[in-house]
Amino acid sequence: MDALVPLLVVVPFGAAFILVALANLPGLARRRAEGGESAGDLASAPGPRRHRVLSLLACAAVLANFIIALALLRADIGHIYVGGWGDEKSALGIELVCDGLAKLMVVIINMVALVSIIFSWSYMRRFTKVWLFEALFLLMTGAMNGVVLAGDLFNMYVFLEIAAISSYALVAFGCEAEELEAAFKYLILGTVGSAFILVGVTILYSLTGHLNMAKVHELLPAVGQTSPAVLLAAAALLGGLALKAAMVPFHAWLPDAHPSAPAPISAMLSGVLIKAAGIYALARIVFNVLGPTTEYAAILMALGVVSMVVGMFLALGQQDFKRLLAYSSISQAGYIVLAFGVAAHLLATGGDRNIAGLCIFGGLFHLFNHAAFKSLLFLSSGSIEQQTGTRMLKEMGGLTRRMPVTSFCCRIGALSIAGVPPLNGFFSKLIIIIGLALAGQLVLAAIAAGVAVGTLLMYVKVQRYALEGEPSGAAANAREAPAMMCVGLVLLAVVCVVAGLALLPLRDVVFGPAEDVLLGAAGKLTGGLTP
Amino acid sequence: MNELADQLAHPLLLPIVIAFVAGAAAYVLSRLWPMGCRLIALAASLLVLGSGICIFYRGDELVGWQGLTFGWHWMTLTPDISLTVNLATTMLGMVVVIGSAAFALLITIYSLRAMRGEYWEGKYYAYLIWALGGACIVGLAENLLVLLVGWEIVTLMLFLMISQGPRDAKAGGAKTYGILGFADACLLLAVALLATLEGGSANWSLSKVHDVGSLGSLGYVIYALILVAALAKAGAIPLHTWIPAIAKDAPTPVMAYLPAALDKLLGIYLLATLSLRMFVVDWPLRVVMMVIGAVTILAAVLMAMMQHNLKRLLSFHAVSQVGYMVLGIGTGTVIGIIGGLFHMINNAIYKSNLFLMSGAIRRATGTDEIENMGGLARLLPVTFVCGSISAVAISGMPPFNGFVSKWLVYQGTLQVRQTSPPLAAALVTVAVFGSALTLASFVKVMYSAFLSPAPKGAAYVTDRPKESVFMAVPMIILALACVILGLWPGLMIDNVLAPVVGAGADDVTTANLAVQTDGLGYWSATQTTGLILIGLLLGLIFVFLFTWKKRIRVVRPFLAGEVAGEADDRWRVPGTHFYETIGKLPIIGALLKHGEAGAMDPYHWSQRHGNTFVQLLRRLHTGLISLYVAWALGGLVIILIYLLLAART
Repeated sequence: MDALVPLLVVVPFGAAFILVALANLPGLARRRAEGGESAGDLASAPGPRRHRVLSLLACAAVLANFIIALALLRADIGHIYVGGWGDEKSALGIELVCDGLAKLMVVIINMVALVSIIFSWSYMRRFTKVWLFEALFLLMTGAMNGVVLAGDLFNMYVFLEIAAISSYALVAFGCEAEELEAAFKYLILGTVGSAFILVGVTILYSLTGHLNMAKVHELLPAVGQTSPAVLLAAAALLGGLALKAAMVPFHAWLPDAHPSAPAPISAMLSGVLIKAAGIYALARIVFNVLGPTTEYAAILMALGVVSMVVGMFLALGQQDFKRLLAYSSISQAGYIVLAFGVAAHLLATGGDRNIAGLCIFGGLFHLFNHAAFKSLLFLSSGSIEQQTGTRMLKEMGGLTRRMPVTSFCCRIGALSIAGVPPLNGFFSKLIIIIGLALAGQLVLAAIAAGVAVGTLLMYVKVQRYALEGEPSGAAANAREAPAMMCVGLVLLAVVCVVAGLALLPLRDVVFGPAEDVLLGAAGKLTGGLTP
Repeated sequence: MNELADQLAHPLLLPIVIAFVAGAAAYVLSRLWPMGCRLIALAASLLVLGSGICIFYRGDELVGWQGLTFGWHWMTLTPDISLTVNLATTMLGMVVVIGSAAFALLITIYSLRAMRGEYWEGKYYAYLIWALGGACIVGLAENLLVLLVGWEIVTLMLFLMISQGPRDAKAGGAKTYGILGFADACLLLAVALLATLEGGSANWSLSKVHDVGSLGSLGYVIYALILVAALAKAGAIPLHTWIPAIAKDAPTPVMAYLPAALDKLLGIYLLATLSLRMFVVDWPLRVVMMVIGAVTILAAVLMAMMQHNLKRLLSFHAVSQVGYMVLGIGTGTVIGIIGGLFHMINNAIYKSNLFLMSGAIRRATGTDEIENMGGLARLLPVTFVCGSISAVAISGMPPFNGFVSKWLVYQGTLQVRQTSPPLAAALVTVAVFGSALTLASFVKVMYSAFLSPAPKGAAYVTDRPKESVFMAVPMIILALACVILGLWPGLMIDNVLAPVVGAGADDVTTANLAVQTDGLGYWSATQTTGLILIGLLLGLIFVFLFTWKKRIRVVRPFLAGEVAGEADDRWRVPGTHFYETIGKLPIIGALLKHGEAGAMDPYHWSQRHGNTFVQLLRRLHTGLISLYVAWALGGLVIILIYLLLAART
């Protein structure tokens, strides 16, 4: 089983390079060029058949990853050193840590990636150079897997950068003015965030002489948890990762970047990238590297609450479907960070570990659910945009009658995120709110409940304008989306329906190990280092 | 697996499972086979009704009221908190289940005609049955969390049903979901706060009694949160505004089913459960409830009198009547509570029937505007009779059911004089006055729609529409229910409501109740009815004697020479202007005007102020990268400063 873990990174990276190579092989390239010339504007050039082969390859790579991720879920995995040029005592070297949290994240990432790539099978047909898209997509997926598997800070940073850079390119994939502008903003702000992270990593390295997270965690007390240098590193890491997680006030890139990308990429960005690169890394650093203190907990809680509230208000004011979804991602990510913050607070103050565990469970469950329903919503917004030609809610209407499958799935997603029982969003919000209340944070619990109402309102708006009533405006002549797009939507809708009732009882199997990692109950981050 | 099968075969799950499975079947078949959906809806509501009645009787005979329970431990969250599915039968809960199923059946029959051919007919039945399933969950729940699930399902179904209406309905639907979603969130927060009390999730049990006072401020907060949820669902002021907002455009059967019947049952059920079972309520809270009740009665009925749209008018009455229920339960006296609960049942019956009447009128005339109606008594005799019975019942006239329950509420309110005489006097005055205004309002409706001359040139006068059997049957049944419960209120009070109150009211035992009901609070319906009938008969004889052999001459209005044509409709008195004066009264008129504009509507306020805040936030997002980078740097600096300061102390 251990040998499977590196494959999560190697398979997509390898597939990405093979894709680009195949697409640019002289023979193929020539034929494609001929096809392109002869067909001109026609889409049915010989090129597309080869595209299909390449797409199939990409799908196969992601599917393989998803299967590996599922297989790993119950596996007992030790420590994996890649490359052999560093041993466990060395400060350098690549260590992959496939603990409970990483396993959970890997499943989530590859689940969304699989659905997105299935969706893009039909969706991306209107773009040229689809193989480039697929290569970037695979790079991003592999890099996200790398982020959650990385056992040391520097590799985490490297994978973060790979994921970020491929996402910059993907946001700009359409090459329209709006997309380029969004990608540029995203690039600048993302780089600022990466710089923060790099500064933090560097300082920690200089203080401890190690990059390995477990080692750093072990050595930090000797340096002094409250020495200014550590605090600077902590601030830089928290700030940088909060930027990746799009917490207010670091969020400004997201509402431009997420809507501008092609729909499957929006789904990946909102569904998993901000979680893998942002929230996951934030939790990892706070819980497993710096160690939860009341100050870090306070920062997480503040970021969470402000993001929840501000994101909600901004989303409520939106008429653009995808921007609304993007703002609501900020708001929903706030829930997760808030839950983690409260858990960190409990751990730091010696509160009830069961309640801290409940908060973390709520956060992780919401993370999973949000990945499912936000991807679903972004994908359905893509379907709707493709079929109606607009993203503005007021220009649509009555889609239930024109696009029944898409509308049904969109409604499932909207109801899930709004927290309507018995869909999954209800349970994760319920658990978070109960957790907050049990932790003694009654005001935060009330705010969380209030934001749930706001979320409900914004998705009522979506349903009201886009789905209900007589088909009108741009929706009047819309037709149902192609089959592969519907397949992707239906898969995620099934996840949303099933996850609430089926996954909750599986807490011990699926979420339990991940909780233990953050609670510190699983021993050190890397047990192998301290036998 | 076997265990699961055994669990699923539990009788208490039966109505819930039937409803959800049937709803799913109807949803799947909605496009393919509308006829199938109709049959499914009929069968499902019949089966749920039947299973509800079976549970009711079996529970009574074999194991007693608290005996028939279902418990399934789902999962443990922390040692204190576990999610469990607990169901149990209570008298009032069964009223909700059986009542909801009965209404679902009647509305389904009505919809066979009213909804036929609508493009979403199949889905409509699915939503209807799912809403019934949600109501069954609420009625059978023994656990606040389970109740919450059913509660939200009903809200969702209401939203889905409203939203299918024409374009304006969607705004109302959004508003409804906004307000009810807020109520649901309050309930959710209450669930979370209850879990923090000693004992954890055991506090969710509906039969666990908490003393509001001894819990301190948290107890009041929890109580208030659940109260908000109950009042919003039932539609008491100030959370009532969703009902008038949807009245005009939502399909009539939906109005008759949910806001008129089901939501009242559920809201008042929760209010009663909250105040009688879960919490020991102290005097200040009771005063709050009574005042809310009284204000609701008066303010809504005044608004109702001003309306020109029949459905909107009815919707304000739907709000106004809630006031009696809240007032009755708020009194905390046995008679008051019985009156409030009885009024819940009665109101569901006649208000649903009035909405059905408006649907029948609309089907015949194509309009909801009262001005455009008239002369329908001859065209729609069944509707006229049934509607009149309901109108008289809602106005609190003997011998119909509305009178009995209002009478009990008055009596219950009068008992409050033992604690606070001025309050009791004020409340009774308001309640009686509100009832009189209700009558006044319905005089206008019945006159304008049925008795006044038909507007000239109205299409329906020449088309001569007929009654539909499907629509008439539910109206007749509901009108009969008004009569029966009016003549023999003991059927409901002695058998159902007295045990409810005996089990949980303040400090009054059932024995005490018997004395009071026989003495002060009760009235003899049959005797009075006899006298009323004699009075009516005498009146008729007089009328007959005076008009006998007298010829009535109809002349055209004298217009000082101008010729008023046959088709000139200017001289018709439609009756909608009966109470314009109220709108011109100095203080009340201004209040009503602002009320109509949304000044008393929390949804309206929050929309306005929320929007201001949103615009402010949007102006901050200028799109300049330098600004955004500055925010990020600022955030970093704040974090750093915070960390350094915290480290120094």
